[in-house]
Amino acid sequence: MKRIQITMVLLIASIFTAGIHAEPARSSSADAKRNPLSGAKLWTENCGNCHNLRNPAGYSDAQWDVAVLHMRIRANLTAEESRAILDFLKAAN
Amino acid sequence: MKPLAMGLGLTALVGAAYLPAANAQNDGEYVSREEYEKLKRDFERMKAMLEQMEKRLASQPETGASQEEVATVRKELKQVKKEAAEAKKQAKAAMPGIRKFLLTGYGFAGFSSSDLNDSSFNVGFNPIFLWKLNDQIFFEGEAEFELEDGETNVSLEFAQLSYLFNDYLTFGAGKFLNPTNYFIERLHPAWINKLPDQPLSISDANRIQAKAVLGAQVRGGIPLRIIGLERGRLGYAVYVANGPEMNDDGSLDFKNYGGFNSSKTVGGRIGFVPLPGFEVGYSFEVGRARDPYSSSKLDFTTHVIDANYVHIYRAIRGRIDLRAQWAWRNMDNSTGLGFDNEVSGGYGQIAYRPSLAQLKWIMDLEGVFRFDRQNQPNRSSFYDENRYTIGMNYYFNPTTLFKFAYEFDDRQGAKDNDTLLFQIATGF
Ligand code: HEC
Repeated sequence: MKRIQITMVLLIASIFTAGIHAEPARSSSADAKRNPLSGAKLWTENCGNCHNLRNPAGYSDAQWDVAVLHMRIRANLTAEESRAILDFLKAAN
Repeated sequence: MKPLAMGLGLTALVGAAYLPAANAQNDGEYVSREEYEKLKRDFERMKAMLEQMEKRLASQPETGASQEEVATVRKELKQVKKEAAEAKKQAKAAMPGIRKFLLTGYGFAGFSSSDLNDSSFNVGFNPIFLWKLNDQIFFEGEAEFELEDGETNVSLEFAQLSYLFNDYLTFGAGKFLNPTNYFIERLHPAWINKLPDQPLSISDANRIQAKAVLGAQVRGGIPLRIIGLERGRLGYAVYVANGPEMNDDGSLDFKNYGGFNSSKTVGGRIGFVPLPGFEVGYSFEVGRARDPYSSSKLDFTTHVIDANYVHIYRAIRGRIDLRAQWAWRNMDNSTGLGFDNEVSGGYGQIAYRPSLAQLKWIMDLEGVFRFDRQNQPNRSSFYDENRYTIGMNYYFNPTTLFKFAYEFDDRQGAKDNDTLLFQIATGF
């Protein structure tokens, strides 16, 4: 039982390390530096991490208002990022 | 442009001439004959002037402005109209108190066949109702319709009213998904969950944590920019809710919606997201449950760690999705149980989808492997269990998929229950 518990902790730690290793590749993207609050980029980076991205055209402005607020609360997204994502979705639908 | 200005000028003139005359004698109840005649004369005069001007304007060729000027003015007018429409749209969108509604949710149909149970089809329908009353007030409610023993069961999965206090703090009250149980809060809906069933530790008979709780919470997301980091965020949630009741076998009954006792459970989670797609979390829950064998209360403490990592690797032409969650709970000894009531368990899951493949049908495939483990108290009526699940999915669209899975079960001191599962699920 202890062995498995340790294995699980190690597994979680290795996921953590995998994430840290991926960082240099990502932060070198010049796009991120130019505009850290680009809605389109934030959308692809954040909204596909729990489920697949939905087509922006699938919802009206008012419906995206509701869905993005729901996601902000559920996924503990930051307010400013969810606002930028919402702006993008409203422009792209 | 010119006729317009003239017309406006005239209207103003008529108005200016008319108003003082009417106002001057406004102290009496009636207009005298004399006043009336004067007004009538004035009015006739104005009318005649207007007709004359109109005639003159109609006969005049447009000489004042050059073609270019007219074109520029027209263009400007168009621009002004566009801006006005845009401003109106913006004003409308920002208006508080506009109720916005979204009907969403998911449905699934499945089949399972296992060594120990009769094979069976199953189905579920979970409509979710979302209202954004204004920028601060949000309501979410989910009903679950399930077929069980020839009857349709309806249950209230969650019903929560949230108040967005500011950018960093949201207050919620009602029945809500347990924020310290990452799988349940963020991954369990059938169109999101990559396997047809839930991990052992999440939905087993002697599960470690509640799926949903009845109480109040505060939560939010804080950008790490405010402490000088370039990126990343911290998510948090703290809740207080009705506590569970202990069953005779030592398991906890979390469905305390009537208040079994006055003990409340307090829980919290901190999720650290250093970069998009990568989150690690730590959660705790502390509470007390009444001992069914005595009148005393038993303290319990639960710890949970979770990790999530999603990344597209060009080298393997696809997306890796890693999930892990491990929870352990310690509890005071009950005299009636005769064993240390400690449970622990969790799962690790890896999924790969060749999202960068050339062929569409390959792009829409996904392979999944999950390892589940549940450690039960020694000498209890529960058994330790390992489970290895392999799955293959096909996505018809981003929220509709077909899942196939096979579970290799390994129970300690009990007969294994290998299971074959199919499911089709959609999020709408
Ligand atoms: C932490 C995981 C997570 C993240 C990140 C996330 N979602 Fe979701 N999303 C969910 C879950 C869970 C549901 C299902 C909600 C339910 O069933 O209660 C959902 C549901 C939805 C729905 C269906 C309508 C609704 O509101 O339930 C839409 C649309 C959606 N998400 C869009 C987004 C967008 C846009 C983003 C980025 C701003 C996003 N999601 C980020 C977990 C997540």
